[in-house]
Amino acid sequence: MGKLNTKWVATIMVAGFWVFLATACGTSTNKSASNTNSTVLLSTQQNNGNLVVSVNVKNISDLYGAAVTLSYDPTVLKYQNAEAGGLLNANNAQTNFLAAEEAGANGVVVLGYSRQGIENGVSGSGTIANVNFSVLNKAGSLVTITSIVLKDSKGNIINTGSVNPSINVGN
Amino acid sequence: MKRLYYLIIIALTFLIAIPNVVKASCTDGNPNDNCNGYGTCYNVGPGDPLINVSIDSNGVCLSLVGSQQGNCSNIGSFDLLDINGNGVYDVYNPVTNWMITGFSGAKYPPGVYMFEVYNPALWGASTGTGGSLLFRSDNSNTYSAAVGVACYEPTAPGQGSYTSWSYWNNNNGQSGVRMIDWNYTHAKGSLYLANCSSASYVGTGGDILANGYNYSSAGFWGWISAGYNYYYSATLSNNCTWNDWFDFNIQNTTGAPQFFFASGGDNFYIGMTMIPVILSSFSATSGNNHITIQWQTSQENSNAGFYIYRSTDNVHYAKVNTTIIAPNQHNYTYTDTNVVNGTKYYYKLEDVSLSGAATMHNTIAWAIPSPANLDGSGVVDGNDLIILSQAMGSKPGMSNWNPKADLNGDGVVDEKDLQILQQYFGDQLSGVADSNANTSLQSAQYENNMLNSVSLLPIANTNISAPPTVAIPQQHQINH
Repeated sequence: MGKLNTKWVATIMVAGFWVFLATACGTSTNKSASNTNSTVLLSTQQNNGNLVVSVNVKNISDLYGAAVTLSYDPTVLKYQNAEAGGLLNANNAQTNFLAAEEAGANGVVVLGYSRQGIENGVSGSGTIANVNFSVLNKAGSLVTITSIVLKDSKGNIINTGSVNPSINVGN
Repeated sequence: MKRLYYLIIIALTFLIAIPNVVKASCTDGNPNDNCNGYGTCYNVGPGDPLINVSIDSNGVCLSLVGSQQGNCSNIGSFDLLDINGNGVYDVYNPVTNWMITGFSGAKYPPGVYMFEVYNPALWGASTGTGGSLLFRSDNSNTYSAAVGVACYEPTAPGQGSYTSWSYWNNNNGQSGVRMIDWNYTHAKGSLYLANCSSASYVGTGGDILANGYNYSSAGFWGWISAGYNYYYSATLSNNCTWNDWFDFNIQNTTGAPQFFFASGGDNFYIGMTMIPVILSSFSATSGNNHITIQWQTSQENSNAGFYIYRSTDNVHYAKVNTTIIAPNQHNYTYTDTNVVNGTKYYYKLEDVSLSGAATMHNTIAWAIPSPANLDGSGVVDGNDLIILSQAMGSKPGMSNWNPKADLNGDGVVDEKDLQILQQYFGDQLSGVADSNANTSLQSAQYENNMLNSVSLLPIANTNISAPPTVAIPQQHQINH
């Protein structure tokens, strides 16, 4: 009986050690991280007759990269180009930014912005991308985030608190 | 006294319920039997089978056998009709004698088959016919086979007549074979339900008398309406298993026996078609120098497997796999490695039944093989950029090394890989070009329609006073 108890105690200790190790090292099978205070929203501004739509985040933690897809009415707006918002350049980190209209889809812009290599993410608020459109007519129209993926430095998806997916760019 | 009364009642009931079994009247080529109008007869009894049927897991094997080769040398052809219900003979095998070898060893899946033997020498003027039908039970995975052999003996040549066979289903778990004879001159017939393996009858309708009906506990029907059409049907659901068969015979007892089908010819109808493969999804996914094709089926019947067809212009398609993709459960994956990155490929799927009938599905999936589809999403987007960026600067052995991110395969994830990703950025790498309903679905719908149209005879109804209307689509009419 005494031997049995010893065996159980040893087993529990080993299991406890692994639980401790997993917790201490941040090991997790959960591939998403909650960032419930964060917000994603769009904003607009005029720039020499063009419309600039900015994709912004607030109160984000450990943001490593962002993948955003915007949709717009191609009869109202014409996509010109897009620029990185600068949020991920903190501490002069190397970043990569790509933007393109989605092939075969009319009125869809695909954006990618990421730090590179082994780097921590960025915390705080700022702009992910500025997308430049020329205005074809002044009819009311929506620019909408049709998908957004934010990832932390471990490659986990960040669950943001809220996303305001659309902004009216007309009238 | 009371006991005697009961015994008499029971005896009378027994006599009524078990009618006189009249085995095939035209059984053996005997010139003296009822079928000697032309000196031959097609119909044989279980001990002298015309058609040998064997079934195994691969399907049904048909062969004609018989000792009447010499007697029936003028029997001209043996047709296997319209397996898939498209109104075209699936097999046509003309022969010149009684012994048909064309189907020996041939494998056919459970399904609706119909074939006949006829005499071309007498065709157009008068002829006889024997018909048989193999069928599969309606909506389960239990298969049945039935063989019917008919010998028609109208009383006078030139009297138009035709006969139809149909699958019968009352949507209540009962199904069988029904024969409809539109020639009202038949006065008598017999209907047999027999066990194929033992060659012994397990039930019979006995003689079918004019203006009457007959029903036996063995589970088949035969009834004759008043002066019009004769309906004979049988159900195999209660008494037979998948290898049982059904022997059907009509004999004429009213006058000089003659074979004929003059004005109407003999028209056969098949009341059910096999449901081939029903495709529930079909997609292609881009990979680096390969495309993965995946599909799911919701139903497969008698499916021998699949072929994938590919095109680069969505017009000219060529078969991709030379060896058929064998059926398994319902989920399939095929990887096409004979592709070039950046080229758009269209794919179609064809299923082939065990009988060889091919069905090309209309759904077209396309994909562009590319190294840049790192997350397999079908679009090269920001997430692919993040995945590549995480591995930037890495080599094998480093903690952030990701071989998928090494797009050019040079052993390091660097600006060159980023440039490749940029080339594809925003590209859609896979999709579906056409999601129209496929032919399988149409076939399935068709089958349902057919089953509805032939669900006419309640199996236990003994008070039928008028023939039901039979809806038989024209496309199933097969004429010589």
